[in-house]
Amino acid sequence: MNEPILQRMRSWWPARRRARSERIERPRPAAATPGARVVCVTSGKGGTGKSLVSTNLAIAVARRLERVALVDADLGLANDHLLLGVHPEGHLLHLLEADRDVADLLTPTPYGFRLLSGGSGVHELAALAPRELFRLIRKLERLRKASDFVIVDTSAGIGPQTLLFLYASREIVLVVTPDLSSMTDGYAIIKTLLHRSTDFRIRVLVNRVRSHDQARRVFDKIRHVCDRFLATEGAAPSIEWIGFLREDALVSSAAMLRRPVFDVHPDAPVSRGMAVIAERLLDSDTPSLELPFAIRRVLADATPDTSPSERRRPGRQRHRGSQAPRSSAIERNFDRGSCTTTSSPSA
Amino acid sequence: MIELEGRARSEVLREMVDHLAESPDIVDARAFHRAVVEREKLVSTGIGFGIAIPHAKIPGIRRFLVGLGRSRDGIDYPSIDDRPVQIVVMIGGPDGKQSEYLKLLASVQRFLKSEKDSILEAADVDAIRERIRAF
Repeated sequence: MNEPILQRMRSWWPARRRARSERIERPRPAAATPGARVVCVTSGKGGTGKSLVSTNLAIAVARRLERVALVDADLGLANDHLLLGVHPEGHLLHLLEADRDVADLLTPTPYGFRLLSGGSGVHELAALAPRELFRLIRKLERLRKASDFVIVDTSAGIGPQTLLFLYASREIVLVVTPDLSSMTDGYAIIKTLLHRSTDFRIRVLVNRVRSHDQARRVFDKIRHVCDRFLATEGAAPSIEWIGFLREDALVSSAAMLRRPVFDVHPDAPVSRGMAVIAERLLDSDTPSLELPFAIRRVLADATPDTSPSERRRPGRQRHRGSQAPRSSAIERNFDRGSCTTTSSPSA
Repeated sequence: MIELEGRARSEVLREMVDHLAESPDIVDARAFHRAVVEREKLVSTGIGFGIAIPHAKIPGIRRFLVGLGRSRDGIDYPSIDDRPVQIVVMIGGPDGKQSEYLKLLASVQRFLKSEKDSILEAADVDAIRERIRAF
């Protein structure tokens, strides 16, 4: 696993606190905490439609809640502001300046929520030191405390900066498309997260499909592979379905206008799909993590890529087999019966 | 729980605030109405599916209150899917209680998801109250 930065963070973190952090692995019930719900929208592979989902989800949530913020955490390569037609004057890098508060950097949007941009073409953001990343998270905690709902649009993959945001939250919306690489990389995200803790609530959104059936087949395949390779001894991992979005040319045409598809084509199938997903997201309540717990989870046990079976300790993740799943075996499971055809699900 | 008479958003918001203000837990009804209208100016609370959830959290309310209004004819209420609104759920509550509001909103959404059709088809207000009690 790609975690050198997390390991450096760990060495920087005082030893006493680190010792405490290593005891947090056991899942524990979510406690009600003051502050916003935080939902991270992520994917294993680029181009799955995370920004489409994040921006339109923020629009739908802002109709129900007053203080909604969207954090574009695709550090240095942010583009949510383009889809929303706004011009942020500041970005996440400015948060590191001592006299800048998160409230100064929020850009109002015409859709009732505020955007914190991740900066575009800002290479410093892509190479932040561990200490700076922590300062960023600490300052973002103020945003959580002052909001009702925060959506974080992460970059794709399992880079350390993406993992930092994912580990610091509890709710994840994983966006996948029906192609093999997206499913395989999506599984890699799930594996990485569940390897860290079973306390995540991971919901899968299948984008760019032709039909509900095709979307369900994609989801079933991912769940099947998770059940097979990531199941704990007592139970299968909790991967939930949240919905699907159809492939729709209207998405691109709205983006060209620098407006969200919800705004330009409210009655399009993709917009209706987003409305359903927002409804599902909000018809349950998952308290977010308080900062100390989030940071401890970020720091806990940053061991290089080890499979669950290699890390057998009470409360830890274990898969059923005696050996760690090999990536080729996982790919075969996804590949058996392509999801882009109309064949029956093999999972 | 009321049958709404207004056809415009402003009329319906006034009706709903007046209805909720009958509760002694709303200390300052004018401030509540002002806050609801301000909230609508930020962005409309028409969430689509024929539903709107106007809301405000202010210090002048002691605890969370929920009011439900139905319009058979539909209301001219800006909505995310451009469809007329037929069900209005107004929520008022004390400021700074995000977690409680999120939990309440989740319950309201679950109720609407399962009971929207029965609310629209119910013969009268008493029948809707029955549905709420049964949920």
